[in-house]
Amino acid sequence: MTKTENKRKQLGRAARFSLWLALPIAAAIIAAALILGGTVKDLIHTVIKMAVTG
Amino acid sequence: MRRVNRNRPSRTARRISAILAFLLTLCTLSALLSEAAIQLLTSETLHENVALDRASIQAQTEKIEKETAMLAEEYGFPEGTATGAVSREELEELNRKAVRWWTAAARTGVMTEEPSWTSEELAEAIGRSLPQTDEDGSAAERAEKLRRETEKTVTRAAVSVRGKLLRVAMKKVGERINLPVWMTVLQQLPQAAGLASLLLAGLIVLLMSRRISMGFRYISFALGADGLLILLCSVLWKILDPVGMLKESSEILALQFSLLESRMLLQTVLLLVVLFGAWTLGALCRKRTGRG
Repeated sequence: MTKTENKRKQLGRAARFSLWLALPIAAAIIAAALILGGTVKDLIHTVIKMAVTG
Repeated sequence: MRRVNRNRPSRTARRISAILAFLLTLCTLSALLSEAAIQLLTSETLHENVALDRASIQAQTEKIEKETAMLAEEYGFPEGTATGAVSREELEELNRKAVRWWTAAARTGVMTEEPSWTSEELAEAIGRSLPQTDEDGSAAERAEKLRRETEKTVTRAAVSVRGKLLRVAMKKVGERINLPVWMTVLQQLPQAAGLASLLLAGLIVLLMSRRISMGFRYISFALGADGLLILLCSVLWKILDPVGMLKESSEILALQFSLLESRMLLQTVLLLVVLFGAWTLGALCRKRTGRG
């Protein structure tokens, strides 16, 4: 195996490991964004509307 | 009989290290995100830089000049009476006061009286423009009204609708959670999560003591995962589009927020470079052994 191939293999393995580490947290963040995103956006809109109209 | 490689950490150690790396990812991400949230809410330096930015001060000056000209006309004074009522230095000082006021409110979760601007020079300038003949005797009263309205306009330009926004937001959020307590927790979170991260990293290195470079690789993989998650959070932030929402309430506030975003973008890019740099180093650094 050449040096470049070896490095590519190492990087691929590292990327796979990092992806596995990030995947559950990313899934939780996306789920939270889907569930709470609408509520948060509505809350911000309400606050802005109330502040503008006094 | 199974051959044991004394130079390589055991399978159990590697499995535990993988779990610890996951926890390390979580702790580091919490530390980084809470630090960003604290900066966004309470950093006086960051917000002062944004408030004193040339574009922001220029937008405020233009707004003040436009509104004061309209006010002067409304109260029957020459158009330029109150224009230029506030100097750049005064406006900057008012902006500083506004930043100190609202960052303190965000830090403690308690609202105090918002800063306001008053000026003796303005009263004098309006007094000089009083008409020589005062037929209905209302000139002094109109001058006083013009002074008060001009002071309000200047205050509004610097503090914008932020005071109202903060008051309403704190009331709304305060209905759901105990804000002062949560703000205290949030301010402790970066240090606590950072300390936990260091502890976890130390544990990984200890577990991998047979080959420390492997321990550092696990740590770098966790940092790489943090980089990916920060990228995801940045995308979600862009989708939320807070600048677009703020444009509905105040153009100046939206401008200040977009300046703030651009300053934070630079920090995020630097952070990503560090995280992915550490990841690359960890991925490529490998102790050469005879068995590969």
